[in-house]
Amino acid sequence: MLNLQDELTKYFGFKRFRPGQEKILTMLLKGKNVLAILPTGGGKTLLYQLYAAITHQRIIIVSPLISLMQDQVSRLQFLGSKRVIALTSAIDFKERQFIMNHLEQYQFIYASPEMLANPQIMEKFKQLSVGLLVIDEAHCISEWGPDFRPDYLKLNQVRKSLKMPLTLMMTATATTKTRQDILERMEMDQDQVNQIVLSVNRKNIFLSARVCKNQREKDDLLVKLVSKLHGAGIIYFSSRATAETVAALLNHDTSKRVEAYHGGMEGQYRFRIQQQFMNKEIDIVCATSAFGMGIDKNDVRYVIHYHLPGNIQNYMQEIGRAGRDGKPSLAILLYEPNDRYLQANLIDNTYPEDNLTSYLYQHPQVMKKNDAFRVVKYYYENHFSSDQAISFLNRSKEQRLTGLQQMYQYIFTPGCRRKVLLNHFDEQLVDDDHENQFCCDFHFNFWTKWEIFNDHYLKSSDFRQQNAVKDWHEVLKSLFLSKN
Amino acid sequence: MDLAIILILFSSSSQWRRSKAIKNILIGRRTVSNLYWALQYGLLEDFGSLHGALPDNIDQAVAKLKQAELVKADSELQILLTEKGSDYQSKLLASLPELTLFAWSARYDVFRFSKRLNLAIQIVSEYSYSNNHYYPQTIGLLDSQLIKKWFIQNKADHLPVYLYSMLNHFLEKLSRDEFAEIFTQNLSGHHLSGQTDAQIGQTQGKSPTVISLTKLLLYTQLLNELLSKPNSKLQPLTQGLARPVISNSAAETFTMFCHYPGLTIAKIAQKRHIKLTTAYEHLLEAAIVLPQNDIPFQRLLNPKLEQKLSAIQPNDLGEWSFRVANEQVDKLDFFNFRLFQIKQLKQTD
Repeated sequence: MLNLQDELTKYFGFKRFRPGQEKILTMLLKGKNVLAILPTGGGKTLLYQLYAAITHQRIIIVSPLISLMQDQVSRLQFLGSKRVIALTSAIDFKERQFIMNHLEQYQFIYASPEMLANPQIMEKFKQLSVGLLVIDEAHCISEWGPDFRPDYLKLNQVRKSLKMPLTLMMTATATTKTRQDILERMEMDQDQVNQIVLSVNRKNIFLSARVCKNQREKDDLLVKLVSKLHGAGIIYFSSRATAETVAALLNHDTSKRVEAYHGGMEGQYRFRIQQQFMNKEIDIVCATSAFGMGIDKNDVRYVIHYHLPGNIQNYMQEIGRAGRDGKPSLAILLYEPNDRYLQANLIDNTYPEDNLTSYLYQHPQVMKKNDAFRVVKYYYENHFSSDQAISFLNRSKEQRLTGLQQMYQYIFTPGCRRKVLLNHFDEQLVDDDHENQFCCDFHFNFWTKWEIFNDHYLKSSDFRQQNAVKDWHEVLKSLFLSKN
Repeated sequence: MDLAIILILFSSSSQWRRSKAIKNILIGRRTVSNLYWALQYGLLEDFGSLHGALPDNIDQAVAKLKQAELVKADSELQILLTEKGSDYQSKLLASLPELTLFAWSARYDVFRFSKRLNLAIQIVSEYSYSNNHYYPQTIGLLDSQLIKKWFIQNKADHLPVYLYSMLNHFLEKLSRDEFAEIFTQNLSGHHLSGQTDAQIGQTQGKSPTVISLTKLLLYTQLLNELLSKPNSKLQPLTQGLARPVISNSAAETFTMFCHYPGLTIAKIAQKRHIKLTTAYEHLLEAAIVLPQNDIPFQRLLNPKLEQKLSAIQPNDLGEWSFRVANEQVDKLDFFNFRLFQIKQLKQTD
């Protein structure tokens, strides 16, 4: 009989599983499909990595975000798996040819749903033996989810083409309705799938939000907070330009070492910022949501939202990057009235007006050239009428607006913030969650006592690495260990 | 990179230059017009040396330089260095490695080489510490494969010692320690994150653009050295980096023109399934980028027309517009006019 604890130690050196991991693995090893709701930081990657290590089988992982996939590839490589590849629209023709010609050599194949919708690629995939199909961020399948991706709807066909392999669907955030929808879309009966739902509640993260009069007041408060908060922090922005401006402001007005990070930056630059953050050479990263998905830094002590995210799911994901070591951590959301317009504009810009959708239906060649119309293109190619497409898009826009509305409810709630968050996931707050005052700024007067809170709870892990500039001879010597 | 700094470096105090053309030349936007201006400005060798490295805010950059009184600028964004601008240019040049190396970074994809070498250094560094758990830099699939293969083939052969000595030797030879600092501060490896250009710039009191340019020129120099050592262990890292002087399609048109004297340009266009105007552009491209002796000017340019144009050409060819020439020479077409200019510029070069 296989002892999973021993396998965990053997392959990864860990002594204990995180909650839910062992149960999910046991199910999978018994050949049962699983829909797992694991909180961010719950160790999703380890699940299929250990499964692959034990069974020596090939794993296909469908994932929606290119940056996330690239991060995951790096992480698997970091953890010692070298036969890993990501098949996304970011690769060019030559690279794709190379991958296709060597597909059998890879044990972990990440693919975007768009790639799997390509018949030629799918032909190649059909020839592979697949031990496990992993659908990451499975909530994207659900039209009820805010991140709905049309190509995810084809995953049931993909699964059939792959001869119905064992399937693990994972997400950090899915309501009951979304979970049902996921199974329906995948054409899987409830009894075919074991649902393992872990609480999304991250008890070690204190929740707080502050409504400021204007941006000036927000900036002043941010400077005060950042000057004193202990440990590493991430500050999230909806705009790349603001992330850069605020990083410059914080570098100027505080003694902290701050860098900006967003998808518009060159790859090597981003690599260095990530490395410096992990190696404690910088204290704070001012980032867009592109940051932090695949990088496992356990000791982030606080996450501040300078701009509110589009919905509660995303908010949970992003604050979940704090306190992965289980130690007390802090989530702060800063809001000022103009933020409302920023988010509303983002939503407006995402959806075409009704008459544009009609125009695109009449001139489909326009859609081919512009990825911004991929959702309309999907409806068109799948023979939905223009009226149906307009209706779907309007419904989706409504959902986005509802998602935003729920964020406002979170910000302006007169009660417990944790309750608002958990209610969203159909989860109830258990009484012992309030055993101490470490919950939110409703139960503890955080905004007058945040400095005390900071000193009491937020411990900076070990020493602060100094960026002492070394002479080039020293750098070169330390790069290559001489084994004389 | 800051386009304003780049414009200063490639401007002149004696020749008005089109700022947009300078940018297009450096990023290698291959049109006959850009190639012609490169020839006119003496920047043909630098064509494409900053491929993919420049932003698109030319109006802002020129406005910034004008406001700082570093250039004079006209309404078409042509610029001329002021005295202050010339001084600044000299200072910039003094803070950089030899700028003639740019010619090499136009002929080879140095940015790609630098990424390959950076990954190779990281892998060998981690290997020297027997560390298998690290995040490798992502540099594109095919280049990663190339480095992986190179590493596997060579790792048994004292790679850490080899890389250390090679880099040490290269950096020792540099004229200034500050260049060696810039080069090494940027590297990533075991417990070394590597600094960004902005961070290095802050330490050295230089702009990030100067740091980026310094790095580019140093990598160019290193690549240049490796290319002259075909037996170097690092030779595989230099594969497939050469950039063709002439585009494939233009080369094909030009070869047909040279090999089949009986074919008219119209016939060549027909055979190649390209527009006649494209065939003319291909021949102009060849005339600009290939050595003068390789161009059959006597076949391309009617001697009588050439005589006529010689008689009326102004001292400054750059100021001579087709419109003016056309008024003086009956039935002049743009192809012959431009070809004449190219020939003249090449003769005086």
